[in-house]
Amino acid sequence: MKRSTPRSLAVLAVAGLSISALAACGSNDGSGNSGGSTDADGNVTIDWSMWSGGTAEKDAWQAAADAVHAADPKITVKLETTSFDDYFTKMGTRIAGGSAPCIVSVQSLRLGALKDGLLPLDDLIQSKSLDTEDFVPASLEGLASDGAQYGIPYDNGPMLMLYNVDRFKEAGVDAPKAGWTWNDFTAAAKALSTDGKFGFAAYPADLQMFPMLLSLSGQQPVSEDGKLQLDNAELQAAGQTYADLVGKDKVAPELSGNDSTYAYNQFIAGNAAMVVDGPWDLLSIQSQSDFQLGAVEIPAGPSGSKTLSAGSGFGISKSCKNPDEAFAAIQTITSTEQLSKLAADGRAFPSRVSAQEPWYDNAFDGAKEALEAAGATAEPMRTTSNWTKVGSDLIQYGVPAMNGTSTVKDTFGQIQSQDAN
Amino acid sequence: MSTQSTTAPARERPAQGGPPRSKKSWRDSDATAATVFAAPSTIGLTVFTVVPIVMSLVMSFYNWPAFGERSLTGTGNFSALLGSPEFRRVVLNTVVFTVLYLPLNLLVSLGLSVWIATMRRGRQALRVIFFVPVVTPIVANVLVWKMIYQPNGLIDGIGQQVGIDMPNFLGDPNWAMIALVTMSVWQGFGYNLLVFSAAIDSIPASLNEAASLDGVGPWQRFRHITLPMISPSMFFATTMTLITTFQVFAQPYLLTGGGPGATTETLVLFIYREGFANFALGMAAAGAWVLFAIILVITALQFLFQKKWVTYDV
Repeated sequence: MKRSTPRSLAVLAVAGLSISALAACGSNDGSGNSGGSTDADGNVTIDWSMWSGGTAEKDAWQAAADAVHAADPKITVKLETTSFDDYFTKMGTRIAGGSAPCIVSVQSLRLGALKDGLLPLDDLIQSKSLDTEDFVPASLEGLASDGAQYGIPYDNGPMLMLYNVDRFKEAGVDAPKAGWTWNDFTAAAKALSTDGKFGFAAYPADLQMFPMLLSLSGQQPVSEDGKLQLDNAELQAAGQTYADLVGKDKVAPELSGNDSTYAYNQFIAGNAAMVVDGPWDLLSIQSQSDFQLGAVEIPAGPSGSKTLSAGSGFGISKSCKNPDEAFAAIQTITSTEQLSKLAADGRAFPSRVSAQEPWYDNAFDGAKEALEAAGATAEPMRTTSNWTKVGSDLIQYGVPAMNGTSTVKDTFGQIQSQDAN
Repeated sequence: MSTQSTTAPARERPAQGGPPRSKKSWRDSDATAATVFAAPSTIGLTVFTVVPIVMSLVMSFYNWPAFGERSLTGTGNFSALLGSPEFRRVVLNTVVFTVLYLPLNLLVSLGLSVWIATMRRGRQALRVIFFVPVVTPIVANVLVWKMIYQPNGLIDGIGQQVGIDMPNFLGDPNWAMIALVTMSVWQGFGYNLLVFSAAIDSIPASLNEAASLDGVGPWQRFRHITLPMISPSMFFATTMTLITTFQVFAQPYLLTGGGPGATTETLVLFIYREGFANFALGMAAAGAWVLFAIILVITALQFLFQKKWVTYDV
């Protein structure tokens, strides 16, 4: 029996360790200290987490981080990047674990998921006198919630219809013009769907699908009071019209799997002549495709053309212990000078009016007109706090609905019952 | 424990004349050394295995969102899970995947290993080739299989040439699970193939020779010599494959995203989404414990029934 003493001691030790670990976890209330450090001379290091699609993009953000240090040598910004899809999973976990970076990048659609871990910036905007007048109003609105501003935007834009000018010419179809209607769109799509090619590429992803549904029905997937409304009959009817482009009218290719870049890839490869996309992808599509790119507003439904806008920016985590320095860094990163550089690189369509000209200089003919026309009717896309789940459910359950093996009414109804709260 | 404490005094008896103290100190120093050597792995096990396991058990009884207030719900998470049609669906999907995947995996790996064992040349080369998918990153495998499955992909392309209308494997609810299982078998059978090959190679040649001399045919030799001789390996392969099959995640996550609909959403994919897309960490932990319970019961059953078919006395 004596032998069992060390063992019970070990058990006690394990139990003690577990409890202290649990206690350490339990004490996290989002007000811990993380995301940067201050040394003896008052130099501050600020962590900044951002998504990026590759080395070139990362370098562009690193240049912005370096600019902060150049503007104020006391502040050093440490950049870390993840792919866009992984970013929000990682950030949610980090905020929950109390180890969030100081500067948190956030997309307007995902604000609801992260805002409980973010600091309202209104006081800092006032005390540091940020010139909010220069920002596109929709861009600020997209990163605000319940009257509080949670992020300073760097890009924002309305969703547009991109089209393959060469393919339209080849098929002898007139290029879409401002003011075109849903009927014009379906007629063109039908005429372009020949020889194994398609007029349009549809996909049940939020930003690709809902601008079309909004134009058709006037409804967003989330009501003005922030409730998921996929059970809305008008929205469902519009959804069915959209899905029929694939399943019934066969003017868009059949979907398979869960590849969210499917529609873009079909468009870039020349298999589909039209696709819905935001201005942030425009210049990269222009450089990847070997055809002449065109852009026009979303086709008008019964009450005119409407579209959704979305954008991204930077917020400060609640656990950041140097919010003043973090805000100064964000001010530099979103300054006209920095945004003009990003715009010239084609990385982002700037949220500042004063930085948009370099972007237009790089874009194809007609891009400016299309963007301005779409921007005039764009509404910021509303989302719910569990939008990450809603978004992935839309793709998962939406694929068979698009292919015509189930109805949009059933699909939307099911997601509504699973995700409405 | 009990046997040690009763035999220890019996062993000390012959040394009655010697000083008992020195014996004790020898044992003490042994224990110290053992503690020092065991400490690194014990600490590692505690920090990285025991604590997370205890932690997840605690979390499963809480409503534990990523942000905001946590509250004790008792068995609320478990009853919510077991009552939700979504969860029952993913358990069913996981069982269907296992029921399709496990026999196929064993059949293919056993069949190929028996066939390879009869070859005179190229045995090693073939084993390496069949093992390549196991060591290739699954992301790369999935990318290739997507191109095989998708409309206008390899299969559909061949179908068009021949004039047969191929189904949309990943987009059709009736085909997605079959497509997933096929890809998984291709990806996973190489491991069991190596296990079976090693077992078959270690069967003494004299057994088969003696049987041949007595006029026993190949099928009878397989049935009465090879199978019993490799049954411990088969038991190992079945148990391990079953456990990893219940934990399948990467293939549905990458290939179908659980879709179309909920047709390929597996238990671990569900747990991942609850935890990291929905940030319902308590619910995810509860789901993980349900999975653990299922695996535990099935593995226990396998150990119980192994007596009926596994031969160790050779």
